Amino acid sequence: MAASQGGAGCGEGEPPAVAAPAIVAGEGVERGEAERVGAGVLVALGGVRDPELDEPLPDLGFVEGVEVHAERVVVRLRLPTFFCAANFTYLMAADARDAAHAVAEGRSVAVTLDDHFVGEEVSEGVSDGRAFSETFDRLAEEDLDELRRHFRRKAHTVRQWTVASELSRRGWSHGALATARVRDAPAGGGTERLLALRAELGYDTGPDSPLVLGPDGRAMSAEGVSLALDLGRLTAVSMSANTTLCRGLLGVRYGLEEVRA
Amino acid sequence: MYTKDGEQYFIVDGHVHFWDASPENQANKYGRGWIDCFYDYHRNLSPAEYVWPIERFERYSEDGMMEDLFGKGYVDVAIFQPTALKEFYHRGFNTVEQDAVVAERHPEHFILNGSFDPRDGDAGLEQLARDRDRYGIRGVKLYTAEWRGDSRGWSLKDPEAKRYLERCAELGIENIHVHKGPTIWPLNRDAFDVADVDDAASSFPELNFIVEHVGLPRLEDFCWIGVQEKNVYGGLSVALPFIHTRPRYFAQIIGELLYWLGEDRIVFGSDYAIWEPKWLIERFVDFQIPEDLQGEYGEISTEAKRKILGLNEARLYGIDVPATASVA
Repeated sequence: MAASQGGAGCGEGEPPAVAAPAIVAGEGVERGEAERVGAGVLVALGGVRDPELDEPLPDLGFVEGVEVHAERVVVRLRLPTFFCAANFTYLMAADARDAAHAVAEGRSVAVTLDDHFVGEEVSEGVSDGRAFSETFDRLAEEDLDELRRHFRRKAHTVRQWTVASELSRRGWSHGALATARVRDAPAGGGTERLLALRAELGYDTGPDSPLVLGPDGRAMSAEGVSLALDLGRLTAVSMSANTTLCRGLLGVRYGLEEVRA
Repeated sequence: MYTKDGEQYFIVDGHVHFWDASPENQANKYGRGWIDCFYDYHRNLSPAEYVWPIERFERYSEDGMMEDLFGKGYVDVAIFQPTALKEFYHRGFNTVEQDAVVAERHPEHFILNGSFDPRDGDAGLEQLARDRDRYGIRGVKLYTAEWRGDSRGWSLKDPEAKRYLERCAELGIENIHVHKGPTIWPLNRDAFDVADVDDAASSFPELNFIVEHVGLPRLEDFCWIGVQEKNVYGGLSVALPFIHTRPRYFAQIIGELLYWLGEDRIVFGSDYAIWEPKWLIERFVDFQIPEDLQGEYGEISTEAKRKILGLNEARLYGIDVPATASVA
């Protein structure tokens, strides 16, 4: 069984659109100014992904709103459950802070997370620019770089399977996929994301490099390619199920029919 | 027993609870957050006619549970899986003692599982032996993310945990149900990582390891372990309810499980009261993998459904199955 059908990850249709997060103008800030800065922040947040789901935060409905004050910007986050893991939560909040800071035009950036078991710690730690291990002193052994890398590898496994599935829909045989190169990948969002992940992981992105790599980024035998694609399909199913569960839970938690649909 | 189109299905619900999450038992915001989280799972994935009011969900009656499981719910035998959560609830959430009261009143219907926590040291080992003597337990439910004081959980790889697993093997407690939770120490690691199950399963081939929720949200890690360790099983709670709102995702999940583990190592569990077994069983028996996915996953047979709904877990727990509901 290989990437013959491309069924997984296509799920029940495209994810529904989520209502745009609210932009709030702080005291003494003109509405137009708040809209302009807030819109810039939202665009920047579109570049921040949930590390487990590999989807942008605003698309998942995790950005509740943005407040634009005279001297600071507040990014308000919300998550599907009270017990969403602290580590992923911290990564998202810290990435959101950094993304917002780049476009906040000199304002400081605070991130708030309500209704969460470590919401206060995350909000304070991230807003103060502290590392995860500083915020969770006794409860963490190290920072989150390895965790992030681990989930990038998973996302990479999924994305290369997605691209290979597209090729098989276009007539590539199972055996031929073992010889596919990056230059054979169809243009589009899937390939762009795959190459972005390869670059982040330090894998070869050259047009002549193999399209399907092993878990450590190395080229593989035909048998290895077959297994990598099976694992890609499996991981895609897992990630899609996880994503749909997160969307559903956020929907019922905050009464958002559009996320729940 | 559930009968449909002349086929009999012997039902073992491998994952049920009798919990008390009532406001007066909640010790802190974590107790509130825990049951609210369960309730969101419940109302997100249940059909509308099976959604309960929050008050009932926090604490339901024994009579109501008996009806939901064995009255309208078709279940023949249900297995209590305790989750103590003593830091979140004054009297605990769903303790062995709470379950035991009900199980002793209805011995024909319930199997009572125990639990252990390796942080209890020698005293816990003695308690395990007492639970075996008193209740005849043949399984334990382990929640590795249980908090205790400053500790935020434990791992099956811990040397102390190995002592407990050795004791389980000696006592004939063969079925080790593992439930991962999101809050475990150290917080920088992936809390849902099931790698410690791999380690334990290869160290203890005489024990069966049933990973609840088929490892979701890490289905891929779970399946990979299952390929290598033949004494690893997947419990379908959380995955099966997708069959209502997201049948295609369910088809893909069950397709992957059949591909990597096979039909003999998948077991049904409702996670009652998060979901009621009645609709899960009815829909699963009616379910088929959609045609356009059959190229990858094939079909699911009636025999496979009978195994998953009861026969596999009956084998693990030595439950007698009527001849009319057996498979060759």
